Amino acid sequence: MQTEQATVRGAGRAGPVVLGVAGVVSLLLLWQLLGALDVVPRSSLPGPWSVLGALPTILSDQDFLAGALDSAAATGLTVLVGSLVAVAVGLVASSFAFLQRPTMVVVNTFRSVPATALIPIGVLIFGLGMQMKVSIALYAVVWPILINTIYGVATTEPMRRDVARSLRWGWWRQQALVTLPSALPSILTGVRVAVGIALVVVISTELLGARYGVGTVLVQYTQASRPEVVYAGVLLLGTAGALLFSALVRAERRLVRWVHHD
Amino acid sequence: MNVVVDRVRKSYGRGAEAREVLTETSLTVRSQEFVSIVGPSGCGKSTLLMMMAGLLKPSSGEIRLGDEPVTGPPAGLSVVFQDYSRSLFPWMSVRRNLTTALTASRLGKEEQRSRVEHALESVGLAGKGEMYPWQMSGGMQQRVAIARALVTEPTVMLMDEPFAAVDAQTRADLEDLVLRVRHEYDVTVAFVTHDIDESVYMADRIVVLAANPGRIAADLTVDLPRPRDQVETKLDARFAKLRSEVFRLVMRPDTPASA
Repeated sequence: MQTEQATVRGAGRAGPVVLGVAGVVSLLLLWQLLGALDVVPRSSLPGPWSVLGALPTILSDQDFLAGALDSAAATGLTVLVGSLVAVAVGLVASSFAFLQRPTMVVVNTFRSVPATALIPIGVLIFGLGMQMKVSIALYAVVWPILINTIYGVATTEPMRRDVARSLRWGWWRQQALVTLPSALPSILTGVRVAVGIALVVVISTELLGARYGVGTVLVQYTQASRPEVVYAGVLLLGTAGALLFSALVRAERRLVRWVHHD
Repeated sequence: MNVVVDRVRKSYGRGAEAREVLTETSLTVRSQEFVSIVGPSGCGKSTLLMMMAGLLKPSSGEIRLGDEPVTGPPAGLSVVFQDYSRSLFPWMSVRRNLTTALTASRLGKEEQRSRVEHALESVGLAGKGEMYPWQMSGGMQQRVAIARALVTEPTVMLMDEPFAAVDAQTRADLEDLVLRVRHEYDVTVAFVTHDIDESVYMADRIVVLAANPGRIAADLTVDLPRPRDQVETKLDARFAKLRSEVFRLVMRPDTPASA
């Protein structure tokens, strides 16, 4: 029994790595196979080796690097501003009973409109710069953070509210020391979701017309018939996204250490 | 300071659906007194305590702390809640749990620090200020909750079944701890419990409540010598007599008192 458990636990640690490597290798093989069997023409899907070979090209392209910085700045700004606004609105809306229903109606109405459908309107209003990207992406990220904030506030332990009242804390102190920390695990989940959404929306705006950004550069390479460079760019974006995601999960665990003991 | 419960009544709901939790009840907890409030579940003992704490509004009647009517949580009154795991703030260290309890008192930094250290020392947690509640055993966490109640140096401390969630040995330790700090801090205590032995062991006076609707069934004076001792006090014939008296009132309220 004990050895069995030990094996299982050992597999639990090595398992994800082995499976991950196996997954990547089989994907590369399948990719190579698709090209070799002529299922997809080379001009649409270059082989894995030519994509990997294009990595130096894209990494030394100043436009791509500047674009990446631009996209990252737009994403970061969106998540920062979106979090501040959504958390503040969420805390206020949750504090007053009469605001709760109207807030949910507004949230459910507006979040049903896909943000990418607003890109043309955004272009009309804000033009093709940073302002347009961030505005559209903001629209997309505030809803999930707002919903998670409201949900998180609702999970606040009522006894802790009583403690705060009996300690005679004012509204601000109650928000800062009880409500916000209680909602924090849920808010951080919302922010993690929002980062992914912001990245998707920012790159979409770039594909559909923004003047700068990785998306813009990828469109240019598509038009120049350099598919291997486009794929190399997509590969880099995927890797960056994966690294960002795991960094966020780790940061989240550090920020709310008490959750697993509560 | 006296805590006066003056013709207080509490009911939930309205009209035909109204449920009376506590019928009109009057009670005075005198300054420096230790009063146990004991009764079966549903007798409104926690409701009564929460109204004394200013956390719950009576349906009618008035609570007074000294001469001041209680309309919200008053200064000089602390509450120890039933479940430490839900009443402490797990995102704060023990020291910060205590320091933030002092914010409404508006003390200087130095005074705050010395009060916090003193409170930690009083409950046997000196040097544990940097720990987080979730790193501690249940007994230690409830000590933190008691220290948080004492750090404001209250005149009145209300305790709502504070030891319901700890094991028997820890419970005995915590009972003696409360009896000790009560004198150290010169605090008036109202102590809600459903444990009959505990109600007798701790108190100067026992208020026994009956259920459906909640009301005072008896008000008994405990003439046991102090300091109390977990072994000696419980061997005392007076302890046994009081214990069975309270037991009868709580468990068999319809039988008449035996001589």
